[in-house]
Amino acid sequence: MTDMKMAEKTASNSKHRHVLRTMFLLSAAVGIAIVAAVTLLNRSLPGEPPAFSPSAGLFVVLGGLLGFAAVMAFYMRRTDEHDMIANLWGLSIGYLFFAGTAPVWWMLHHSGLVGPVNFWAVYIASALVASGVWGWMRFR
Amino acid sequence: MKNRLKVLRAERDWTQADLADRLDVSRQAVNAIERSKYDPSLPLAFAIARLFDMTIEEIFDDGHENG
Repeated sequence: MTDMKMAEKTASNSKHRHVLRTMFLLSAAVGIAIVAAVTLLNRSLPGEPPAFSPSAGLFVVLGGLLGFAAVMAFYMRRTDEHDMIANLWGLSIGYLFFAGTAPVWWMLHHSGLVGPVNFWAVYIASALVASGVWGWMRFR
Repeated sequence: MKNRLKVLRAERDWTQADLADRLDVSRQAVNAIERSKYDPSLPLAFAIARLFDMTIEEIFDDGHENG
């Protein structure tokens, strides 16, 4: 691969930078709307039938996965190396945070010190850590 | 890694955004390279050298003597 081709692969086209930002903001808005709708609609109590049919659940999951894959493919083609490395660090540290927090919480729970592990809390905290590391490396 | 990017850019009266457009990277990437917070990849270093019509060694200094 020539230097120019490598540079083209690792660099982004500035004309598309605002498109990328707009796309990510739009994706975030759509994702928040879907999660909010699912959370509000899914108010079935334990023991009651689930609020969503299996087909509706599969539709949401497949739509989300395909949408996520499309956004990632677009992102990888458009972003530059500086942003990509910030992302790799962010995701790595976010994962390490998740991998470290969950067993510590589990151990503390089984020692009677804290309540049971709330994996959604750990998941969201890990995402915030990853975002924070990405933002720090991207904009410091 | 120390570099002369800021000086070379200033000599041409380019903003960071101008240089970023020419290199096809974000303005934050140019800023990070200028402040030695980020070392560019070899392809990007070559692109920078080509843009300024210089060698990589004339722009970037890794602190080691050539010899």
